[in-house]
This record gives sequence, C-alpha cells and structure tokens, in this order.
Amino acid sequence: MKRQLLSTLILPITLTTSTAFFSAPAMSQIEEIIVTARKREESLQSVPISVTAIDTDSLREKSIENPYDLTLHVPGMTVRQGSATRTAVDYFIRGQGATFGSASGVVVYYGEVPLKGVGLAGSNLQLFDLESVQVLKGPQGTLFGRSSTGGAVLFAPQKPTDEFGGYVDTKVGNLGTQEVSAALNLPLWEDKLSVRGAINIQRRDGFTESQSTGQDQDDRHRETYRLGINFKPVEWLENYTLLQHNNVDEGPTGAVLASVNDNFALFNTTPLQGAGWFGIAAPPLPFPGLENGGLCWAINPGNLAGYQSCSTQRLGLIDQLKNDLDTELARVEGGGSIRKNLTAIDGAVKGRSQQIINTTTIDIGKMSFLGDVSLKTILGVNRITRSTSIREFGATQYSHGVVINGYDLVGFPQQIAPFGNQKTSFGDDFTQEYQILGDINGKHSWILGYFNEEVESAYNPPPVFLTFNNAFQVPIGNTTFLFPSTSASVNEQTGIFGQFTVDLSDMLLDGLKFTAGYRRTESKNTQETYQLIPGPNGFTVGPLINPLKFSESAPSWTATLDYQINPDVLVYLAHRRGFKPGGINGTSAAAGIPGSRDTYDPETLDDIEVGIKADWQLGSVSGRSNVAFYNSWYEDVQRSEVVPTPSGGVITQINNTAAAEITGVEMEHQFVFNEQVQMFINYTWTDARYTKWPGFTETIDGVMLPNTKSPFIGTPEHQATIGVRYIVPMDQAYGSLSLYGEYYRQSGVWLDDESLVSFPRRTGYQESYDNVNLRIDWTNAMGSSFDASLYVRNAMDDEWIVGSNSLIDALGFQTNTWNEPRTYGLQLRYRFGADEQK
Amino acid sequence: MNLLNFTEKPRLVRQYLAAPAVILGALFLAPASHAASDCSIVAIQAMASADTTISAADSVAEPAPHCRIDGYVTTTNPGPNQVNFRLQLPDKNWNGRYYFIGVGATGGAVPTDSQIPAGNPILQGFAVAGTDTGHQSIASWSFLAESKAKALDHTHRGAHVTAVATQQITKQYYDVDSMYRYHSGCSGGGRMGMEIITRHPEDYDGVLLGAPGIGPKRGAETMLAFIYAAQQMHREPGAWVSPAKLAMAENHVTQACDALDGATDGIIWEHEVCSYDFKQLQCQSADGPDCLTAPEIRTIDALLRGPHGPQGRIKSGFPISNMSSWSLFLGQGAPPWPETITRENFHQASAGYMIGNTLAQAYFGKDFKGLTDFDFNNQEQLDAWWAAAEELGYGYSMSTDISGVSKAGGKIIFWNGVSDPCCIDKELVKYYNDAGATLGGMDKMAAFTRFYRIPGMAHCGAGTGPQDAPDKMLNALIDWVENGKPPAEIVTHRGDRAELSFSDPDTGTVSGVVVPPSAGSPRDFLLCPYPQKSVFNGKKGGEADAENWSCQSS
Repeated sequence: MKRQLLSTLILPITLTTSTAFFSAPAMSQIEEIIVTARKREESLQSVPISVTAIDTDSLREKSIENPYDLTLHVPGMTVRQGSATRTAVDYFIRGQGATFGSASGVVVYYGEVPLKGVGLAGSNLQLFDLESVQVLKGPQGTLFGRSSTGGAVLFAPQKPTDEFGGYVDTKVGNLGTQEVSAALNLPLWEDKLSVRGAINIQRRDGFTESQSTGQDQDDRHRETYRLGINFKPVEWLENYTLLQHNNVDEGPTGAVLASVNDNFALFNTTPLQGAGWFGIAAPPLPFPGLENGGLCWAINPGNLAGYQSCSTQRLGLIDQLKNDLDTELARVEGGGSIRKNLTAIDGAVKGRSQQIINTTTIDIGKMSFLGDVSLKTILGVNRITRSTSIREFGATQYSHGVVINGYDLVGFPQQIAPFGNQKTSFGDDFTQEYQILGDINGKHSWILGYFNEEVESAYNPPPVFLTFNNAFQVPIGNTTFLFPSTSASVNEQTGIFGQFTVDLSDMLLDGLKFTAGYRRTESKNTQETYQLIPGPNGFTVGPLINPLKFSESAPSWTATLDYQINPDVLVYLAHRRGFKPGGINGTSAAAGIPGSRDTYDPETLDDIEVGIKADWQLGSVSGRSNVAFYNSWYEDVQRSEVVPTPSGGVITQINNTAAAEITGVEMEHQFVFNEQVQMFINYTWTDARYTKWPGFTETIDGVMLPNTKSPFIGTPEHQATIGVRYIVPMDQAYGSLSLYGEYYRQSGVWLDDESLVSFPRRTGYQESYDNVNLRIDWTNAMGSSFDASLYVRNAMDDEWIVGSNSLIDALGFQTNTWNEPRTYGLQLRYRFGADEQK
Repeated sequence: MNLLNFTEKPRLVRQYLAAPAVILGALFLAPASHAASDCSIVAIQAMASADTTISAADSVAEPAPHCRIDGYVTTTNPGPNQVNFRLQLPDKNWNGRYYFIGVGATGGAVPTDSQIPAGNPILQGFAVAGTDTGHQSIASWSFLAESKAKALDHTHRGAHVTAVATQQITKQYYDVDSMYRYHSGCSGGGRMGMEIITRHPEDYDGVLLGAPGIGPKRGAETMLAFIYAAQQMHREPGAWVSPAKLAMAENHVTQACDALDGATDGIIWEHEVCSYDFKQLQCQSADGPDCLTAPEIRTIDALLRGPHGPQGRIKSGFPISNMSSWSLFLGQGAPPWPETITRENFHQASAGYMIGNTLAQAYFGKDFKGLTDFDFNNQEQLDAWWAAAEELGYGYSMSTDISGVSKAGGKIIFWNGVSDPCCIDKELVKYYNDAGATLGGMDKMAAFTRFYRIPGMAHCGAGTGPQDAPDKMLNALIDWVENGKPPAEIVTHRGDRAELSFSDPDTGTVSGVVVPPSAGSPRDFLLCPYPQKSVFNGKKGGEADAENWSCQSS
C-alpha cells in the first residue's frame, strides 16, 4: 500500500523531469539559491545533499515568524515544544529529535556557530533580518559534528553590505500584536568597512488565560538587537563580527489539561488502600523492611494528636487537588476552550543573553597542487546574564507541576528569592573552528578543519518543583529544591574533519563527482556534583558527593557520488554515518551488578540517500523538482532498561539496546506557470519503526506492553503543503500586488515520549490536521518605497498540539500545549537606500 | 563515666521541654578520651577476625558524625552463610558503650536505628551495631525451611557472631580493653534477648528484653495464636471486628473496669481482674457503630479465650484492656485479605496471620494455608507443629536456665506491655517465675534481673500507656550495670512529658520509630518491679503525677 503510493507520487515527476531535460534545455525562471551545506557557497541545485533553503524574501512572503512555522515549509521536518516553554524548540528531521532525555539529533547553527540546546539566543531565535534559513537533512556529522543524526538547521543573519540601505518593518494585528523590525546598513569606508544594525521588538498579548489566576499566558515581550561589522582592509582578508543581545520578559507558556490518570497511586487516599493514604497517614509497622509509616508519622513520631491532624489536613489537600483535576478535565472533555487552563501562581520567563561571533577569511592564493587555498576562522562566545522561569503544566489551580528555575530559597518556611549569581561569562561558552579550504581548477575541492567547543557551567540552584498541593511539604508552606545537589560541569567537544570532492569528468564520466569526508569527534565531560545545603540566607555549596568524568571518541563519515547529467539535472547517491554521544549512568555506576554499565556508548545512524535535483521546462511552465529517497538504520539506540540485582531488586540504566529503521521520501516542487502564477508542492512520506527494543513497559492500567510498540515520536507519515502565489497584473506605477495562500496537511503525529505508558489512551497524539495561511503583499505601494501587507495566519483557526508534557506517570496528569490561534494583521515596511530598489 | 539517673531529675527535664534533647544530650555527654582510628575498609578489616568481611567504611555526618561500617560474618557448619551487620562508631564523645539493636519479627534487614527505644543511640554517643540475622526475607519465615544455616543464624548464631565481631572492632577502633555492652529489643528483638541470656550470656553486660512472645511451651505459640485469630475472622460471615468497633468496645470495658485497680485514670492496670459481658453491647436490631453483632461478640469471646487444642489451652487469650490494639493482629480491613507480603497488605490484612502463616509454611510446606489447613482440634497436627519446630531448630522450647548471665555478671530487665495482644504479659510472668525456680529462688533472680509490666501498653508500645518506658528502663539498666544501683521504681511518661533518649538534639524528632505512640493526655506512670504493684494514693485529680503513686508488694 505504502509502496504503491510512493511510486504514484514519484514516477510522474521523474518522467516529467526527464522529458524536460531531453526536449529542451530548461530556461529556469526560478532564481538560484546559494547554500552553505558544505561550508562553502554553492548553488542549492548542485549540492548532492537534501537541503531546504528559505531566503529572506520567502521568509516574509510566507509569514514565517518562528521555528514552529518551519514544519509547513520544510519537507521531513516537524517541530515540537521541547519542554514546558515554547522557547525550547525541539526540531525533528527524519525521525530524529531530542527524545527520551537524549541530546537533539538536529544541530542548530546561527551565523556558522552551533547553538546549545539551552540558552535564549538559540532556542528563542527571532526570525528577522536573516539572509536565509537552510535545513540540511540526514546525518551531517562530517562537517557539522556530533548529534546531527537528523540534520542541521542553519540560520544566517544578514551580513553588512557595501551599500547604504535599510528598512523599517512594522506589524500590527489582533491579540494586540505590535512588532517592529528595522535594519540600517552603513558603508563607513568604501569597500572596506561596513556595519549593519538590526532590531526586533515584539509585543503581543497572550492567547491562553488562566481561569484561576487570570494570568494571560503565551504573550510575547521580547527584544533582539544585532550589530554586524564587516572589515575588509585588503582584498585577501575579511573579518566579520556579529554582536547580538536578546531580552525576553514575558509570561509563561500555557498548557492545557488533556488527561488524568485515575489509577495514579498517590491520588488514592482511601485508608488502608491508597498509596496517598500510605504515603501520608500510614502508621509504622514493627516488621523490619515494612516499618516505615507515612509522612505524618515521620514528622510527628511521638505525637498522636499531631499525627492525626496532620493526616486529615494533608489527605484533604490531595483530595482537593484530585477533585480540581477531575473538574478541569470534565470542562476540557466537554468541549471547553483549550485557550483556557488552570494555574496555581503567576508564571514568568525572563532571560537575557549576549552572543559574539567573529569570522575571518584569508585568501592565501594558489598553492601548487593544493589549488587556491583560503583559511577561515570562526569564533563564537555566548553568555547568559539572566535566566529565570516560573512555569507550570496548567492542569490545576493547586500547586502540582509548578517548576521554578533559577531561584534560591530563603527563610523558613523556605520561599523563593532571586538568585544573585546566575550570570555566565563569555569565556564559559566558547566555540572555535578553523578551516582550510582548497579549490583546484574550479573542479576539485577540499576542506580540512578543526572544531572545538567548551561549555562550563557553574553551580546553579536546582529546580524547585511544587507538587501534590504541597501535601508532602514540611511545613506545608515550605518550598524545597527538587534534589539536594548542584553540579559544576565542563563539556568539551573537539572535532577534526576533512572532506574532498573529486571531479571524475576526465576519468570516468563527464559530470560525475565523488565526495568523501571523515570526522573524528572527541568528547570530554567532567561533572562534579556537590551537596547543596539550603539555609535561611540561601543555599550554600557543600562537600563534593559525586565526581564524574566521561570521555569518548567516535567517527562520522560521508561518501557521495553525484552526477550532473546536464546543467539542470543532478542525481546523487550518498551514504553517511552520524552519531549521538554516549554518557554516564549515574545511578548504577558503582553498583557492580552484573549487566550494569558505568557508561553507555554513542548511538549511530547510517543512511543511504538517492536524490534528484532538476530544473525543468514543460511547455510554458518552468519548474524545479528536488526529490530525495532515503533509508536510515538507527542502531545502538540509547534507551533505559531495567537490570535485576542479585538481591532481588532492580536498577534502571541507559544502555544501547534499541534499533530502528526509517524510510522516507521528501520532495519539493516549484512551478512557474507564467508571470502571474507560481505554485509549490511539498510532500513527505516517512515510515519509522523500531526493529528492536527489548523489554516491556507497564502501562498505568498495569498492562505490560512490549517496548517495540512505542510510537515513533515526531514523525507523521504524510506531510504535504501546497502554496500558490498570484501576481495581479497592474501598472507598475502603482506597485506590485500579490496574493498568496498555502494549505498544509499532515497525518497524525506522536509528541509524547512516554505515550506507551498510557496506552490505549493516546496521550500526546495529534490527529491529522490542516492549516491555511493567507497573505496579500502590495510592494512599492503607489510607486513609493512602502510595502503594505495583510496576513492571516492559521486562517481557519484550526487547533493542534505542538507539545505534550509527559507527566501521566510522574504526577498523574498530562497536559498539551496548543498551536497559536488565528492571527491577522497589517504589515507596513519602508525601505531606503539600496533596499529601496528591491 | 558520669552518673545517669534521669529519674531524679524529672523537674529539670520538664522545665526545658522546649529543648529536651539538648538537656538529655548534656546529661549523656561523656567526653571521650579514646582516639578514633581511621574509617576505611582497610583499617577496619585489619581489626576484624578472619570470618569477618568489611564491605564499606564511610565517614557519615548524620545523625552525628561517625564511621559507618557495613560488613558480614561468614558462618560455617552449617554454612556458609552471610550474616550482615552494620556498626556505627561515633567520631567524637564516644560514651564507652556498645549498643546492639534487637530487631523485631523475622529480622531480615540490617536496622538503621534502634527499634525499642526508638531513635539512634549514636546521638548519645553509643557505638551501635545491628544485624539482619543472616537472611533477607522480609516479614517471612520462609528461609527457615530453605537453609539450615540461615535457620540457625536467625535463631541465635548470627546475632552472636556479629556481636562478637562488632565488639572486637569497636574495642580496637577506640583502643580500649573493655566497654559496657547493651542489647535492647522487643518482640522478635526480645526473642533475640532470650537467646542471648540462655545461650550467649557472656555477650552483654546488660540486656533490655521486651515482649518476647513466650508461651506455655516457650516456643512458637504466638504464631499459632495469630493463625487462630485469623480463623476466627473467617469463622462465619460478619466475624471480623473493625477497628472502630474495637475502639467502641474498649471504651465500654475501660469504663467498667477502670476503677478496679484503685485509680480511675483510664488505665486497666490489671487486665486479669477485669471481666466484661459483651452481650450488653449486642445490637438490638440492625448493626450500628455503637453495638456489636452476635458474630462479633462470638469473635471477641473467642479471642479473649485464646487458642485451645484437645489437650487444653495453647496460649493465653488477648488481654481485655486496650482492645483497639488488637487490629494489627485481626486485620484493619475486612477479609478476604491479600496474601502477598507488602507494607500495604500488612496494613490491610492481619499482619499477625501473614507472618504466622509463613512459619506454618516453613513447617508444613509452601502450599500450606493456616487459615484453612490447620485444625486446632487435631492433636496430631499440633504435635506435628512442635515436631517441625524442633526439627528446624526454631520455635521450640526455650530454656529457663539463665544462670549464665549471673555467672558472667550481666544484668537483665524484662518488660511486657500489660495490654499486648501478641506477646502476652502473663506468660512472660510465668517464664520469669519458672526461671527463678530454675535458679533456686526469686531472691537469686532479683540479684541480676528485674521485670516491669507496663500498664496500658500494647505490642512494644502504643495503647494508652507510657511512651518512654523503654528509654527509662534502659537508663536504669545502665545505672545498674555501671554504677551498681539496682533498679527500683521507674517514673515514665505519656504525651509531651515523655523523654525520648535517642531524639535528635537539633530537631527533637526521633528516627526509625516503628510503633505508634501511646494515646492520651500527658501524665506519669510509676513502674514497679514485679511482683510489686503501683498503687495510687487516691489524691483527687492526682492520677497523672508519679508522686501520688507508690510501689507496694502485693
């Protein structure tokens, strides 16, 4: 069935393209797009890698505002909310994301520097004044390092140019949207020194309202400032520096209750039956091994009246919480608005970060058989000067799932207080990359490189986690850290890589090229965990309790054969190996239990991809079709497993136990019918399945299910987007008017890593959904330098989830984060200088 | 060593109740002149005998800075078997005393705190040792049938060899030739005390021995009594008596019998003289919270009578005082009961039956179900029970010869809750008298033993009796051993008058408490050495104060 569908989709296109290049050389009206997928500037159509590139105009024309919008425009990619805030973006490409606590399988680069999984500069990236967004699919381990088993997302900010120019772009819309982006490009010294400043300021009301506190959640209140300086004192030397400052000070992400686990043990307060009763009110037993009484017993060991009143009060808190969850669930399941939720306290996300990137390119010139050689250095530093958040999972008006990050605790009972020392400095987060690039007669090319990244983290307060309506807090109004320890760590990654492309035209076949690359990545991690001693004046760092050291070395490689059949058609066959790093099993490290491991190994992904990239002409229609077919073998996958101990207990550890296979097709077609009508169609088919995953998972109903039944996260089977632009014929004196509409549809997708535990309920599953976006652009309005646009995003106000919080096992409920509702507005842009000519 | 006589300083202690532990700490304080050795596996191993393996030695800050040593003694012939122990040696202010934790029920886990008295003695400067008694079965006797070595180690050998090993390490660690050695336990821990005084009298200088559960045959009658009680719960529909009904019945009994002992203080000091006809409480029409159904009355009568066989009484019935404490042995929830041994199931079902049935299975096979398979009218089956007990070496007749303790210069304090439905005080009284007879007279017994019956106390605690009785008796034992002062009357307390020796001086809390506290308003209890009785002077409203009570020979 699937195969049949595949062939129907691929065949007509390949036939069409064949017809196109055999009948008449294509005169593409589709502009050339430059990509840097191989660390040098090349045409999208000549790179034997599956790449989706979106240039600055397309970002605007398609109203791509934030990383979640990329799902609609990048075949093979989905984006989910990675944690309890929307700013934690979890990209999935070809089934690879940040699942089951692992590092992401997709690396994100900003201005040629990799971003960390955390940190506001990256995860909260504002998509403005960008030259392009490129998404490279499949393992990119050779040139982009570890943890790129799924691919890489490259954000390239606009560099300063030699011409004076700029723009002011404003947006007003519903939900109180007010946004300003502006850029000013100043050539200070002709052809030698130019600077570009850009700002983005966003204000928008929230779209999720807390029924309990009234807080407006999912609002936007952010600013980003950039300054780029490009210095080219002599022809052979170019130095580019980018300074960026981000500030976020907004409300939390709104999550909405989706399910409640009625079997959740601690919710059951029935005397002598429920774990809630046992946890709180059980008296002790005079039997070794069974002696422990509940909390009220532990805190009132000699006080019967205190024990009894404590039990009554605390069991009441749990009952109150459970009733609230039930009531809210009934509201949601009864069709109540998913734009409303319940929260216990006012949340906030506050962050400030700064980034400096410096790249230097030196043209050395011709060096004998090495060809034209150039050197490039890329340096990046990053610091966080503020990072706090108070967020929760939105399920109840009572504290149950409130997460407080970046705060200390003071007084007694302990209460949160600002933590004074959360700043990191530029030296704590440092990346450097050195490349030597050679080009031999414009035919062969090579690159050698060295990459080094060092990230140091200092002691920070652990999260404060408020749960169970404080029923287990002592005293009840007290807040406590989630764990009584804090860690300082140094993570270092070093990569040495080389890649060459040989043109085999003169040897084997005209247009045939062979590319091979190899990278060796060494990772060293040191983590020292110290006891954390809470006190009335804040915590102090106690003695070292657990020093951990970990180092590993792993290879990644690529080998590609590409054949430029004619100037418009490229076919290629690629094989690549990528990996995600291994790590330390903290819990079982010293256990010495047979089958237990101190560390676990990298997981690997090997793929084979065949692709075609063709520009073609069929009658009056010119088009571009890029199609890739791949199969990935995902081996030694890191998953937790349970190991029995000789004394009859069990330990849980991560081990390289699972395997999976992912097969897929991605295609992008662009059609230019005439001067008025353009269209694109993207389609993706993905089949991802576990082939091996030993062990079972016990569901919340107590049923044992084989782990292989786990759904694959972030991989809808089908994704398709169709977009049409119509340029209204009119006198250019009045400007140019275009109408744009796009329709996206995807099949169901799983977003919750832990969904197996709630089978047959489908927690964290988004059914098939669609989405319509519309836009009208009036460029050069009335011949002026003004552009006016009207946009409607999510025109049908469709609702789908973008994230799911896996709490059904831990806290007895599960919540979802929903997409943005329909937004519409007016965008006005004024261009000046060189930008006026656009 | 400084003098430890708390009984002379109740007012002082009461005055500082806000920080009682600080006061106790000061009183216990005995600056150590002994230099502590290295706390490392290598250093500790060097102090141990060849049969002893040290697996961990760590400096630990809580509850007081100390060296925590984990290890095991390998027993042989029969064997080999691994008997695990823990030894905690305080870094500072060691008081020159060694304390071995007697563990209740079936053992099976190395204790982290003293059970009775509750808390960690390390807070008062004791070196503290404990063992799992050579097996790891939680609340189950299944191991008895599985391994002769485990059976023997649990019975007495394991506690003996770990005491020898940990005493040797303690003396070497502090570089002393001698120290004061104490053992304290209740229930199973009291049984351990019985094995010590009859088989290893040289191991300790003082043994505090509570509620060992000894019966007429001085063996495993207690487990038979649990099976009997469970059978009564299943005897007919509605036979189970709920905790609420027992509490209601207790109120009526207390009202009826309170004054018989001369004090209307809510305590039945002598349950033997109280009789109550529960037919008075029979429901006139439908069942209700304030009356008993006919099956419930039949159950109560059966439990008060106790198990009987063709040859007569097997064990005394439950005492009529503090009936609400019966629930631990009747099931807090109604039958049918879960059978798996978990903490939750022990609360729901009859903990007594669950543990008793594992002994029946050890004796009669894994599939034996005491509830349905044991017939108390079948003498052959009763004989088989005792034969199996003797065969496995556990649960058969305990010796009454405790002369070894006398010869070794040791001291013993026996004690039992008057209202204990598990381990009946009357039967420990009988043992005490029998042991005296074996010695050749109660005067010889009194030279090195005392026996205190604790009013209102259920199994090892709880009920409505004093809460700090074990603590106070331990102080008296220490005073006797170290200062030659024979224990006489002992003032103990309930409610916030209680002075718990091993509470944390910083927080006032007590770790590792396994028995709920006694209920009732703060008061004193004057404990008298058997056969003396505590007599109230009749002062109006003076029942709560020890000064109005005196010990009188009956």
